[in-house]
Amino acid sequence: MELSFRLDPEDEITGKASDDYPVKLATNSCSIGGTPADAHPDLFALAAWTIVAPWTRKQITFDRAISPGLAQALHDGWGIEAGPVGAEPRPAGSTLAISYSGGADSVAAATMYAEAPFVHFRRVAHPRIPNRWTHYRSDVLAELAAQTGRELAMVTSDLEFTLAEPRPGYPEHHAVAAGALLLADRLNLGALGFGYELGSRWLGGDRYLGHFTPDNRMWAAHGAWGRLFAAVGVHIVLPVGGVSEAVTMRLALESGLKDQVRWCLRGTDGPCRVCGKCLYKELIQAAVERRPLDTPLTAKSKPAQKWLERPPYGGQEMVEYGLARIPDIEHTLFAKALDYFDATEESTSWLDHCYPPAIDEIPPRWRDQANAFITANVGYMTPDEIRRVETWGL
Amino acid sequence: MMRVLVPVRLRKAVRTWFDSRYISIADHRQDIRDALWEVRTLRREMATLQSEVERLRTARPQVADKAKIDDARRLAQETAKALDGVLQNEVLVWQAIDDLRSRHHAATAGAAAAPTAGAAEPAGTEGQ
Repeated sequence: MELSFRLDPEDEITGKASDDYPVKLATNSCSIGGTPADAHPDLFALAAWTIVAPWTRKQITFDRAISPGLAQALHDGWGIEAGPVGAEPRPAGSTLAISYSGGADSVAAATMYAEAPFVHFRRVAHPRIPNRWTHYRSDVLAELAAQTGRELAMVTSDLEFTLAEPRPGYPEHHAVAAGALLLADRLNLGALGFGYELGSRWLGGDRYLGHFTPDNRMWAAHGAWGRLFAAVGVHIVLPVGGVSEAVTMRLALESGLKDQVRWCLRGTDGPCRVCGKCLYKELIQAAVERRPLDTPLTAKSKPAQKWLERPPYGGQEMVEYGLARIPDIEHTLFAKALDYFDATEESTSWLDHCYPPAIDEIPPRWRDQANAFITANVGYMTPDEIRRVETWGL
Repeated sequence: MMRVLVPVRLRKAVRTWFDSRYISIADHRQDIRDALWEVRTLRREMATLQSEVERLRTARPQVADKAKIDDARRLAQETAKALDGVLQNEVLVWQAIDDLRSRHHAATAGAAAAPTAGAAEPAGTEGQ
């Protein structure tokens, strides 16, 4: 599928993603491969919206009629006039697929729904943008996804190159689902499971707010995006939305997919061990495995610089969790970060359990399976632990 | 162990048969000489190759190459950055064209004094 779009008079090159982060447009075309041409018009419209939303301020005109429900959800969530209106709504299907990246979080989500098919998004080069990011090995990740033995739909796309700054990536986090949406009719999808965990969904993690966010615009079932996906009959499901990255790490490394887990985007034969992401994940893995930190990086290395400065850090709850658990951490590059916290195992033990409302917001059809899995493999938070979540950053 | 008496003639025949299966001392000498010659030739070739490697190594003008590489790198980066600007400008040009077009539509519709809904063509998304 080829997508091209134009800006309205009030739109500008610099827009805003749903987390309020300013993003710059690079070009106004992209394509998505591996998807059928006959999807429901609402699916086309939503797939396009995941890409153009940051730059749309007042109105959007699609090349085909959409359902009144989708137009309403766009209006309620963004104040955007969308049209033309005139299609029947798409009824929800019965299958839940996993938006599978291969990282620990999506592997943990996949473990919860052992029969769910995977949809993997694979970045390909954009014909109009010089690729200055060849170290991103999407081919390696695609190969690992194929080795999982699960039913797999591979989507190829250059849509990340529509974003110029801060760097190529999903214009909205939801753009990873663009291909899955176009496949929704083919796969009879009623829900799409993402690997977003407790930090992203409830603690305002990443480049978001850094405090408790029950009404998270991006990931709450009742948030703007949650209602929009529901309007096209593909509910957003966060199977691991109630557990921390320590739990997803443990579940992933204990799962049958442990040999295919890969959170590093650079390594070929294995994780590169020297990028910022590898360092952060090593902090979590060492804490989970209760062993000393094992990294070739020193305090002088570039990825370490972040940890020499004051908090807040992205994924700060996991930093506290790691600092409290890793033996000999005071003799590693995280020594400086220790000054800013007095985290203990007790004060971070809430991160070993599941926040119950996260399971409650999964649609009934898929809730029982998540509940059974959590009960058997993780366990729910106590009222005291729940309070830790609900006062986070406040 | 069992010893058996063997007739002299038979013993001799067996011995001759064994000897015929081995190389003579003279042949051995010649072989060793040949091998030695081979080793000397190889040694000469090695020396030639080594001096060739040395010559190539010193012949590479390192300083000039580095400047060239840096320059190519700078040009590539600047070109990519410039292209970013061109692509963004293209988006803005289309935006301006669409704006003019819709104003033109509005003007002609206004002249006809009967504006119809949907006559304006606000820009949006086109998928195919």
